[in-house]
Amino acid sequence: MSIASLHTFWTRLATDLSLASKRMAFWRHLAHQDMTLQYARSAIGPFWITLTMALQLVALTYLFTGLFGAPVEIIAPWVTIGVIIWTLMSASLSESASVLSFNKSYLMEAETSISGFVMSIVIKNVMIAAHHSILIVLLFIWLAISPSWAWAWVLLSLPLIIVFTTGLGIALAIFAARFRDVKRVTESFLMIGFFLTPVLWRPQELVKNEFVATYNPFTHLIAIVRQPLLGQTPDALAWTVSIYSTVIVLALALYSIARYRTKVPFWL
Amino acid sequence: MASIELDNICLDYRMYDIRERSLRGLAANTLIGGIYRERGKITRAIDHISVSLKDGDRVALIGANGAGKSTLLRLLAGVYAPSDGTRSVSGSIGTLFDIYHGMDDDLTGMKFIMNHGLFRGASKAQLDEMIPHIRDFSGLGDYIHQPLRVYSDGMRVRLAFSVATQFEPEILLLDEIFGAGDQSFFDRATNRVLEIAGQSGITVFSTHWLELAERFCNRAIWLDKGAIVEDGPLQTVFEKYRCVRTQY
Repeated sequence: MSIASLHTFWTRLATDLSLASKRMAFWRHLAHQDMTLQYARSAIGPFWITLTMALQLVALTYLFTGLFGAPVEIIAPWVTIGVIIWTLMSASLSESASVLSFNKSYLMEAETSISGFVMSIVIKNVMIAAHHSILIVLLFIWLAISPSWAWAWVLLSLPLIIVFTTGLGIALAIFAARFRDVKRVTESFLMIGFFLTPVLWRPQELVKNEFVATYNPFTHLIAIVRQPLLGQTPDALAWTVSIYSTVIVLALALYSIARYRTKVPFWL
Repeated sequence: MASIELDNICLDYRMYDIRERSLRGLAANTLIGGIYRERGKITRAIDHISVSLKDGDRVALIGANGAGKSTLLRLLAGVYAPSDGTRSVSGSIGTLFDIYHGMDDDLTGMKFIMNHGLFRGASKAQLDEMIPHIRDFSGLGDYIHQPLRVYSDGMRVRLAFSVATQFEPEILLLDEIFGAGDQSFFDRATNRVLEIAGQSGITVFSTHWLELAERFCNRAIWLDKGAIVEDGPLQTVFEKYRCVRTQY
């Protein structure tokens, strides 16, 4: 790569990221609007999604206590935390795959930021997850779980999975702008991923094919949030895998922006 | 001080056909050994354009459909990046390319203003201040609280135009927007463009409506097939353009 093209490479990356940070108020606004617009006319607003989620979680807990024979105080927190984190990541990723074509009119109207649009998707899903977290609180109160210092790990692990999701979302968004069927492919993968990742089931319940959980970055990304909330000490392997995956995904995102940023308007 | 310098700009892009736009198509083609070799055809949308615009320039972009007017405007705005040549712009840019841009039917006029204001970099406090001006200028009155679903085409134009020009950009880029809107709004809009242009900014707008351009432009650029045919004072360019046009 010549000096000149290396320079444009960096300039494109810098433009995208600086516009993403300069327009932060816009991305937050878009996220908030996206979330509230659908529920504008109902009294409890976005808590409708939380209510649906609560029903789902009750059903899943009921089923999985029956399936694995484990007591409800084990299964309920495991499933609740797992599903909320999985939903945060999978919803962000599948929406990232259509965010650029959905916001085509913005991208064609002025110089703007690809990473910013993905950020707005992630912000929205973090806000939804924050609504859902009330379910964790209620559950902990019901099970009379007392606060633990281990919870503090979440202050590190949650930002990490948010960065991971944003990075993967950016790469996916650009890829999906070029290839129209990426959105469908993403959705199928996320569907399969939901079953192959220990969201509902616990890794120790596997009688064989343990690699399904071990060699799956999502296992570890969920673990670093779920373990501390369940009062367990953090697992070094989970943290190592999570950090490495985030670095790789972030590198991929930055490369995609720098390489393809100016091509995206022609693909849309 | 606003200025735009385009130096020997070219813009090439690849047109992908439907097969090349799908991952399955790509995978299938790879599996059969890449029989369909040809990748998307490269199209040259802008062909070696050099333009220098300075404060006070009010430019009419003219030319047949597909001559590259919209593409050039988007290139000036920074939506497209040149494949070759250099583009340097100083000054804040305001655009109005697609009046239906961001017009989600469920949004109210107020929400639309918020979206656009923040998108263009205004703060919430600035917007609160601007909203009465936008309401007055657009003449929408209480409709501003209604969802866009109930707006007519003309009302949409009025809203979009009012928002785009309220931020007093130093460079205003407009693409064929004077189709809708009633006469009184049209007069206000032309005055507004003149005002912005008068504030020593740059205005560039594409149009097929030469009489309108004569009202407030002082320079014209005539495009054909992505290249400049003629660039200069409005009357000179228009005379030549009219000559050629009447030959058809």
